[in-house]
Amino acid sequence: MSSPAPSPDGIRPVPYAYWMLFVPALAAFSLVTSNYWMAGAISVATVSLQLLGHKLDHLHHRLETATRWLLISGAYALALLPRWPGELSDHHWLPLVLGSAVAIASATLKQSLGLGRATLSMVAIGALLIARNLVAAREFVFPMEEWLGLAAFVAILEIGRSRRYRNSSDTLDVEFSLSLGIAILASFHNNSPIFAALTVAMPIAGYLLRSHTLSKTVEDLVRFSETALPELDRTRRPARYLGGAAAALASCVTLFSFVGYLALLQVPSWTDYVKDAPYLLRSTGEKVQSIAETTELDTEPLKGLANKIRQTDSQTERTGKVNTISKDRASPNSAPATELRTAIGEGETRQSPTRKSVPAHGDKTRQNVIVLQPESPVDEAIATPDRWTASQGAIFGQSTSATGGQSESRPATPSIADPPEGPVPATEQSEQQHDNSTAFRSELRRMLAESIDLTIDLPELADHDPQPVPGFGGGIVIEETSRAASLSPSLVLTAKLDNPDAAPGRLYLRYNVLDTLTPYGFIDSRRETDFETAELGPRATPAIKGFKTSRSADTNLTITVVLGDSQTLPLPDSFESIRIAGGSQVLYHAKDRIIKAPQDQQTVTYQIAAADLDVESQEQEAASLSSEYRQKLLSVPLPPKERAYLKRRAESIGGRRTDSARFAKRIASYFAARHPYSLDFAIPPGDEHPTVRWLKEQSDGICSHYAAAFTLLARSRGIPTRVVTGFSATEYDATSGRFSAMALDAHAWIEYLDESNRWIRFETTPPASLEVLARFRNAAAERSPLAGELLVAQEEKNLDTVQPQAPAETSEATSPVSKEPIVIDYDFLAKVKTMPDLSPTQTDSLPGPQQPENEETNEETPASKPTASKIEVPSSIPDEPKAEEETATPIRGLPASAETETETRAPVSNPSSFNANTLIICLLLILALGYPIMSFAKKAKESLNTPTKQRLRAKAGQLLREVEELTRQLNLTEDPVWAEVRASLTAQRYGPATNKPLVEDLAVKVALLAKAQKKRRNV
Amino acid sequence: MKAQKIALATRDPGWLCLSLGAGAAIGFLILRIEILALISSMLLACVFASRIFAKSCLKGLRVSVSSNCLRARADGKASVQLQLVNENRLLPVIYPLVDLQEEGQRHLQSARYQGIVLPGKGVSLPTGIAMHARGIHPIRTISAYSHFPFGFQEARVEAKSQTEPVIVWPSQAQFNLDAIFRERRSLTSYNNGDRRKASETFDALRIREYAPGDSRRLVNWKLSAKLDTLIVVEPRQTPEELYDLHLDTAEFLWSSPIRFERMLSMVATLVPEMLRRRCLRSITINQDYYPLASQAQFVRFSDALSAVQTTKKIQTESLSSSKNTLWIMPHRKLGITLASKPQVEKASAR
Repeated sequence: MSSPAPSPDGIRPVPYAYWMLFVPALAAFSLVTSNYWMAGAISVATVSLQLLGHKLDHLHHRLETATRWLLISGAYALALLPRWPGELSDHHWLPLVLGSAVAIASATLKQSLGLGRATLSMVAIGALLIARNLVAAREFVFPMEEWLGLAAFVAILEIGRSRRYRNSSDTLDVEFSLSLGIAILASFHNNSPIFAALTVAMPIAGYLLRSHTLSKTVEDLVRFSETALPELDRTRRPARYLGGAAAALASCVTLFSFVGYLALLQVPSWTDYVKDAPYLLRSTGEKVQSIAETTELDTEPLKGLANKIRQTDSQTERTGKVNTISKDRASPNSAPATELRTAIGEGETRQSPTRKSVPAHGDKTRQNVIVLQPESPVDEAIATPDRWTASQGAIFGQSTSATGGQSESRPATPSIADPPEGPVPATEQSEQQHDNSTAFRSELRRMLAESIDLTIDLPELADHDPQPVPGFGGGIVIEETSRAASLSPSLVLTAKLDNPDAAPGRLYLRYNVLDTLTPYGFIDSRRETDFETAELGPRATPAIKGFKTSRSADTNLTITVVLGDSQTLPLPDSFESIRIAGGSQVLYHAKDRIIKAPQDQQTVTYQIAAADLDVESQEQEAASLSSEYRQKLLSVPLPPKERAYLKRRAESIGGRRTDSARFAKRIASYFAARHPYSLDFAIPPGDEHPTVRWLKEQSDGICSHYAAAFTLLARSRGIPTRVVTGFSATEYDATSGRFSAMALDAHAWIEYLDESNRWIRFETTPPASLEVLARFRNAAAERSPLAGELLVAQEEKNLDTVQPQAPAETSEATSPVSKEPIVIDYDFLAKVKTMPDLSPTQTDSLPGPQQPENEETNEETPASKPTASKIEVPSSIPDEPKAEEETATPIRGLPASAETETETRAPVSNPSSFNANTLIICLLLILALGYPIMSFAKKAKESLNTPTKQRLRAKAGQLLREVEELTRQLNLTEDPVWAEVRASLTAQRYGPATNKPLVEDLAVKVALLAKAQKKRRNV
Repeated sequence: MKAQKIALATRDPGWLCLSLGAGAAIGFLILRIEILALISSMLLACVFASRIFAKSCLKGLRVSVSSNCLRARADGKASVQLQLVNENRLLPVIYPLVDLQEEGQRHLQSARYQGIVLPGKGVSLPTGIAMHARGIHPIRTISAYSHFPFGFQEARVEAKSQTEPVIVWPSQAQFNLDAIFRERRSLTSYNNGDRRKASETFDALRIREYAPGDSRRLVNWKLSAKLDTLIVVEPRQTPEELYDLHLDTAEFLWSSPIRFERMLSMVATLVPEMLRRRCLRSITINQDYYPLASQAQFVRFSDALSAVQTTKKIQTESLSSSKNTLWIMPHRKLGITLASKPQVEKASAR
């Protein structure tokens, strides 16, 4: 493979070797810096330099140098200035001068090898960063990570603008080494093996190509034979370039690499055998190990749970007793299926279990939701499977016809659903449908009840799920934060919003307030006696003392939380009233604004009226803050040396006289720049407080580190601050209007008291990059698909138990949801498809579970509309006969239902699961392969359009070779006829003129000779 | 067939890959960063695969050399034909190079086939080898080598083969011919008046293009201007005397081999020039007489010149000498000079 030939317009194409070294380096650079603009700008500038470089060479020397200097100093300034903190704004000349100096060196030392120049630049940048730290933080700290990012920048610049690519016989040793260096840097920011392999393999391939090409063309003291002439070379090159050898070579290299890689990985780490291995190396291994163990730990119980469910299923099938499990377990928390069913059957007004969203009437799209409507009349129960399926077909047929006849309705039993006479009159049809739908609805409800009933209740789930660690409940420990907890996907709470419009991007729920510093972290300082009691009234709780009256009057929250070991309830910042299911009084702490959880329950459901959710910095009057407590919030019980360090650092970062808001912002941006968010944090051992060590080491961190460090810094500056723990839930399901929080959503932030004596909530954790989030999501095991359903069912149960206590008007007044129809997720029908009794013809007419589920539907449909695209079932339908439930079909579809649930939730809830790696890999591949492919295509096109003369010459050359071979084989070398043919062909091949008819004539002769030779061989 | 030993010498790109690979492996063992293992394994795999392939490819290469060129000049080229046959079953030989050597010389020359010798096929590679030494000796192939794949190393296999002996005439030397013809000028009465007369009468023998070494006086400027190239008009004047040269190769005269070889080069230049001027009849080397009337006789003389060696004592002293007999004698500045019998006698007496 050779470099592309120069195109006639004077722009010299970029050689393949350059491309193959530059592209992965560019991808790696974008990953290291996450600065795609700069990567794009550098790539455009350098590739243009490569394309037009030889034109620049013709310019006047000084002009060319000036152009280069401008480009490079601009690039350096862009790269260096953002590293310069705002406080040092007076010294902006420093990076500019450095950038200019390096650019001058770079522009004038055009013939330098590059490595020396790159080293010079990296050393200079390192010195600049150290100087910055000395000035800014008065500390001699080498900012490794920043420097690595800038080293990547220098490397990409050197690779990009290297002149040795251009029509030169130089090797690319320096560029190759730099490219591999950037690949190593990128691997620290990325855990994708494909990306790593690509960024390593492509420069190697480019270097091999270059070396191959050079050794083909450049030789010392070699006397090329006549065949070395380029024009001869082109025609005499064998058709098969390397034949199978190329494939064999490639596979050999791949095999060796693979075996070598595996062998290297098998080599035990030396740190295992050394007692006092360096901390960094030891801890890296430990970190990796712990994360690996965590992921395994989480999957194992899930597998166990899955097995258990499977066993339960098979047991049920064997015994035929559906409800044995739930009936036998008569715990107060688990409501048996019969109870639930009775509740529905007796027509009690009850709150909707989950969904409230109903599509607008006449919506063209099919809605995958069934609404159980309380006002619907009582229907007779039709329970036979045949009838059930028939009715289902009819319903779906009607449902699809409502969509405008896009899909044909095919009822299974024409005798019932589709009379052969033709279209049924509207009234008759609606009656019939009504019958059928009623039957179906009752069957469906029975199945739903069973599905909830059959599964294990929540305490059992909690037994099987890894022990949930709900957000730093008892306090935070800086060094020993459990990564297992941070990656645990077990569902801890669900918060239902009755006003989806008010849903914030992130829901903060306070859990605990930590105000006391310990040698390990922060704890709370409350005593049991500090709690006060408030009675819960029949309508709503009177405003609890200390809790602020909310500004958002419409936002009501229903929260169900798995309590575990925790003592308190997760609450929004401020709200008006609270109602706890099954509780008549609450214990609350006014100063910390927390409420004690009921001790006797595993899961608690409580409704909060008029909660403030989306105010970024929630303000709260600190009405009566005792001077004692204020002093407590300012205390930093650390040795004087550490206190002095914290004070110095707080002042240098946040400023000495800045107001608290500005101070907080400065500290936060300092954290974002120096302490990236990552679970791979490492705090080196030492005698100092772990938070101080964390600050000094510029280690990565998680929320608790930021909160603790911020608190210490702010207290050192004289700002009363406390750590708040809780949940920050981002997973929001728009269809059900629910936020879900898992153990990994546990979070810590801070509250500080500002100058006007208000509590300000402040988020200290910097936003994590997409890669880091993706890594967490990958590391965290899948959440149990049942957990969400079960928590909702539990909530429903808890609310049911509270219902008799609350008068009817109370529920009317407090929650608009009580009037709502019960909305069942249509995806539940996915399991219906798997029912054994369902005939295939009917399944055809089923709306697919792949229909989009997550559209926001806030309007309520009038319940009386029979043609609505939802199926509405009154919740007052009488129950089926009890005998039926005994012979009910065992639920097989439950896992499927649960799966579809998680599938539909995923895109809504977790936008960060989008993997940036994939994008970069795709871009890399496109960039790397696109250019050679285009080039080959262009060449092929050119070869089609080559002038006739060249083609004739090539053909003559080919014929000449054939004739020589044939005449040698047939001993006709001396034959005058063939000598003449040879002479003619030689003239055509090398002579000044070409003659097309002659060449064609000669081709016929040669073909005849070849035929003769073939005949002779056969004889 | 006996397996040939193939020597591998790592070249710069190979060293780079090897050192980077080894460095990455050591880095991995110390730091446990996985990408270092990846880099190391890929680089080392490339190096080792390339070594294995280079060996396997070259294993089947057979080289033979032939030449249909019997004579060559020492500063010229001898054309040789290299036959490269790839006896491998699968692997091609890519861009093979063959080291050629003129026997008795240390100078190696490489010829490359700029292409691929496919397995089971052979190619014929016409090439030219620069000859350096006078004499009769064959051209040999020493070894064949290849830098492929990737140019990481040079795989070299011994390939012994040689041509028939080639007669290598002495090279031609650059010297001032007129200086040597001083003798002749003294012998003939060829003054300015005669020359003017000859050019005016324009009785030309032939008109030809100027060749290096021609006297400027022979250039016909008018004609040259017309034809836009330097034209020499050779006057039709047959010298009355044809000379006989005597060459003695005694060590006494040509003290060092370098001087001797230089003398031979000058003789090899002088003789054709004198023949061109038609003033040479024959040459006697030691005691062998070589008439120079035809091309064949000239070739015979040249062959003799390529094989001539120094002798212990002077052998041409006893030869009869006439008025037109000139001895080729050493000259301190010019290298050789043409001397008449009395001068020789005078010199030997001294």
